[in-house]
Amino acid sequence: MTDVPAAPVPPASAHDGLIHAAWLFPTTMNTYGDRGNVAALTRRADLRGLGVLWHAVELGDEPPDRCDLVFMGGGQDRVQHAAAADLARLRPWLAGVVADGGVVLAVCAGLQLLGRRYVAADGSELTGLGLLDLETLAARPGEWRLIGNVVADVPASTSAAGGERGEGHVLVGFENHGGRTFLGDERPLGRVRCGYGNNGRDGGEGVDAGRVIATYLHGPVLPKNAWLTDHLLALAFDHAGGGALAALPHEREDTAQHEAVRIAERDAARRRAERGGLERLRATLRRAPDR
Amino acid sequence: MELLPRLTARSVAGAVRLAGAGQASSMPGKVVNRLFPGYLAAHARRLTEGFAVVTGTNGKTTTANMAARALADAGRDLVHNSEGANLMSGIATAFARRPEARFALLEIDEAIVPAALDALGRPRVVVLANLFRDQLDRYGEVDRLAAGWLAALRPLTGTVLVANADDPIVAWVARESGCLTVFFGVDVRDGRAEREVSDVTICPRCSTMLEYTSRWLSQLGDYRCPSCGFARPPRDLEARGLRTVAGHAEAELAAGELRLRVPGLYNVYNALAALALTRRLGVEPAAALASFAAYQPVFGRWSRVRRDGLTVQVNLVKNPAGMNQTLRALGEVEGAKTLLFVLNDNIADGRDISWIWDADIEELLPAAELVVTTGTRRHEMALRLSYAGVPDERLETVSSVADGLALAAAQGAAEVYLLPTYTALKEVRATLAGWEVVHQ
Repeated sequence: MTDVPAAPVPPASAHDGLIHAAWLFPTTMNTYGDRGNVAALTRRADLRGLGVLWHAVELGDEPPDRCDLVFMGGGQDRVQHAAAADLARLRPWLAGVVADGGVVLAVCAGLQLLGRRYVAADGSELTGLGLLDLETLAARPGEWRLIGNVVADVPASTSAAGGERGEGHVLVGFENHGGRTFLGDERPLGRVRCGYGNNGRDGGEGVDAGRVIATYLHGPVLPKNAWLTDHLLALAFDHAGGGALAALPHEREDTAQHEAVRIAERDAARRRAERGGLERLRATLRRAPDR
Repeated sequence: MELLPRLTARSVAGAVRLAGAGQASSMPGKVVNRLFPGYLAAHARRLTEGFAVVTGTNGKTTTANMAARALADAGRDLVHNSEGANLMSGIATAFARRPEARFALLEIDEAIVPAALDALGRPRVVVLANLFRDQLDRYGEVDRLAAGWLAALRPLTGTVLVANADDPIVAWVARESGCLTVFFGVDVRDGRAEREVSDVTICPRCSTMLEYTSRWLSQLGDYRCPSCGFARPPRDLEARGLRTVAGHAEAELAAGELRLRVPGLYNVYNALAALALTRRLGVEPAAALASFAAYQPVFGRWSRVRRDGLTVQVNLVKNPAGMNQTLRALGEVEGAKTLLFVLNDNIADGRDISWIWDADIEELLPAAELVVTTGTRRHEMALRLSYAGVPDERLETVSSVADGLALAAAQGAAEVYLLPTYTALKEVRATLAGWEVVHQ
């Protein structure tokens, strides 16, 4: 990793325009296009004349002293265990970043690892970091992996949407997870319109814990949800002492988002039609007299 | 027993062609397998000279086609699923088409290797080309595929493996299988140890992070585990001095010069695998090299067509490793270029398109006069390219392959490189029907 000595944060007027960000385990935890999230944050900072200084924190590496934003993605099962073990080492640092007002984005396996525990199919438990009040249960025998396009509505009241004054947003992406996550004293980031979300039952997608945001969506999630990229950048830049973020157009991002929403809605309509057809068939069979 | 399945396959093939529904490379076999469940096993037993298998994430079709060409040139009688129809249905279709062939060369989808070997029995040779990340929503993870291969290979006695020494997970599977293995690899010492997408950077044996002295394509490279000592095996067949001359890949082998009519490091890998395979089947290496030098690509694998001064070269791109290799190969080809990406997200493409963000487009995208996107996810492809630094004035999005070609022609393009995903290849084929095929 790039080693940058800790420095006192200068006043906003003389701000160096830099956001210090840590990407946890970029080599091992980058399975589902997670680099796209890094690219989106970097790109939309760059277009505003700001810089994101990425510190790659590989397994066993020391984390940076100064950190405004932490990103962690998903990985294959085998590397996820190695990551979980190393994350326990990083817990005090990560808790410190959060307590100091830094921002965290955790995707998929990242979301699970931030929770209290993960219960495997055989009943064994993996202890999480406990930074979010949630737990994840592995898919039971006969349960499917939750795979497909997702659209979630992020209500205006969610802090990620700007709190009371904000407007609602759409979150679109692709999910692929066996684990079912149930939130304790946390708010979901969005309400699922199409797809499964955290567990396929309660309609919640992701977690909005203010400065810690977690989601099951990859695809990757940030490039085509520019509002979320900007929300994270705004929080991180504020933490860096840089003040408010300048407005920036997002037509290209929105066009890609609309394309993905259209496809997700079409998929959902098809699934409903298939289910409807099956139910009608069952009903017909039930009505058949000599069966 | 043979006659009924054969007649069934023939009538289904006729129906598919009559309906204009394609090349009938899968459907006949699908029906046969459904109606005659023991057909594959029974037919495999009747192959007096046995069968060989080519599997892996990328390069299966080209490797198998190169090997088939060398075998045919050597006068062998063989049946081969040459159109990339590599599921059970495609194998049954090929069997039913040429029931009298004594030997079969089978390209098999990496995810169905266990089921296929279970049905077909013991192959003489199995080529393990590589194992990259591909369509994870459909196939599960690389580790799981490797475990499936290993379970299928372990019980085999007398099967010879042809395995990529530069791919740690493939080398590990070969070593663990207990099969006699011919290892192939390339010697790339130009220091291009790149930051590339990778699935297997940790040791497949002990899960320690692997160390690379050089790394040239995803996880392919010269690797070693600092903890358990697992390392790249010595190569029985190695290519050196790789170069691209006028869009054609060349290299030096112990058996002679390798000259191909297609560009790219991965085509060198394909040729090495085909060479080891055919040698194992009794073809002289010098004769095989001559066959490869004459090998013309099949449609969609660097094939080239022309009309009215516009040349179009088509190469299927379906995962980040393939995208990286294709873009790098294009960077080695001289001249002005227009790129046309066709990104679909249908089931056969993988519904999840996040893989386009894993490709090293920032580093590898060659200079292009115009970059066009189309397909079901054309706007996301455009966003990807925009984030990679393609300026808006050179980035266009259109609603069909035909519109993309028309736009390129209107802007005076001479060379268009068309990069479709799997299902997009069908639209490309239809659009380019009737164009003049350019031999390379």
